[in-house]
Amino acid sequence: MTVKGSIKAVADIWTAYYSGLRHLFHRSYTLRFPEQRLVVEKGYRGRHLLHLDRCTGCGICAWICPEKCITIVPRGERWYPQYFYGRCCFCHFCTDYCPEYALEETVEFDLAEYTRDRLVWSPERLARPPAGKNDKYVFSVETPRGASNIPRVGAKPEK
Amino acid sequence: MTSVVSSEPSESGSQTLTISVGPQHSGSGHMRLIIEMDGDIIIRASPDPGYVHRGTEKIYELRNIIKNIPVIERPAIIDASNLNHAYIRAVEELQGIEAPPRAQYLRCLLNEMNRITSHLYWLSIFGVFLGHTTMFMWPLGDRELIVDLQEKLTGARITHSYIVPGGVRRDLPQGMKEEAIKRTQYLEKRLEEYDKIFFENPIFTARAKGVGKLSRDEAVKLGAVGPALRGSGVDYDVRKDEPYAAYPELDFNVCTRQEGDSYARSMARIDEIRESCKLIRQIVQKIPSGPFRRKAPIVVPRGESYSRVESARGECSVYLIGDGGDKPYRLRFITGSYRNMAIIAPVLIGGHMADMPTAWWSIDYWPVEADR
Repeated sequence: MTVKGSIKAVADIWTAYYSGLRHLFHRSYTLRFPEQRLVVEKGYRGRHLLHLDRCTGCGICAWICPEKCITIVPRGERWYPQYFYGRCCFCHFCTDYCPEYALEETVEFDLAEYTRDRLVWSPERLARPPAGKNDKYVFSVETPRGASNIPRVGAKPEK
Repeated sequence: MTSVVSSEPSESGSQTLTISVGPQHSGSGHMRLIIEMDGDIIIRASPDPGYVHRGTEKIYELRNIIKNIPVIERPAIIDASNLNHAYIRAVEELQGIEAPPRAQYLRCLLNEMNRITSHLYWLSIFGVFLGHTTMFMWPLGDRELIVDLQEKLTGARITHSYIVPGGVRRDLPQGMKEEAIKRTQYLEKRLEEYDKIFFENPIFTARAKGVGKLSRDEAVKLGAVGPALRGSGVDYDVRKDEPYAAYPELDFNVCTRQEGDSYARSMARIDEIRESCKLIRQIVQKIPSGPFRRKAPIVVPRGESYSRVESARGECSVYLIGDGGDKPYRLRFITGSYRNMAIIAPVLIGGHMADMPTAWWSIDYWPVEADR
């Protein structure tokens, strides 16, 4: 190896060291979920929020849904959408096509459940406003299991 | 990773070994490569695709044009908006409507962001299969910056469903311009670091230069597209050769490399990331005001249309036949990876088995996109 080549090799090794050391002070890209949670901005297409007073039960949301995850269910004299989040792909075409602006996107994105039937969201459950940013972690919105032993601020137990 | 299929004497009398790479994804993607070797030299390679075929072309015929949008994006979720753009352009051509200028710019903005994220995702896989763990971590980390921008613009991180007939679904959000300029400038600085740590790394250059050669004539003859074609010195890019959306008004170069080896194909992609960064800055600065969506019917008029766009892995084309209903009568959907399947064998044959990951991943073949 020539002298020039040797110098370059040593310099290259130091470039790698420098680069590695510099990344010690680099901001981490990952979060320690569930203690730390991703804060998504308003406009994120998370779970739906249903305004019961505006909804007319016309069924356009169920018609446009690409995954057929919406069922229109009766509540007294009125009809409301019910979501099955096991199928929802969060395209929010239902929100776009709602003529009465009864549906809204929320920033709530962790909807994991232990059982399949818990993924069915009734109109009443959809009508609840999403949890605030400062809430402590619960496994899902109102699951009485696992990490949800930490009480959520302002949460009411489900009857 | 591999399993021995057979070991039998060849015509010349020497013993050859046929091995199967894949289909469990650990170097091949979700497909199988049947490789016959004489010693360490690959003498025959045949791709065996179809493991992730989902019959999407039939599914498109059963759903109306809006419901088709999330399905159109599924073959390549990291490059979703480019595939969606090809489809929407075909639908708009049949409907006889054109999106407003602001929507055309916003479409290009998302397409370029998708191109960057797709190339960075490829780079991380390419890095890890060459044993360079740093090049696995860095691009995936930096990809987050652009994914966050996409989330800000569309509300979703990967499958955006952003481009719809008649325009786009959301306007440019507040503060997007400054954020886009800042992040693309940062990414360009990071690319220089990538060069130092990876692309100028003597171990990488020794493994990539001269490996998996594909000559210019062969690339043209076999119908290669995208960076795999441009790495062989052909300056074919649908954005330049058949401009669509806002691309005629934007200033950018087609990134080509002459060598036609794995290194050239990789560098063509890295150059494209740089061009896309410039394009994003141009778009947010030049974007005209006005409406971003126009009313469009949910109907496919009787007739035929054909559209093509430059997706991250090459030309993506859609051939649409309408019969007047709300569903397509037939939707033929050809993606870049499908066309690049033809160059897999010529790139691998004649090389060493140890060079297989370099040559194979430099094509950026995405089995899900090819099988559809």
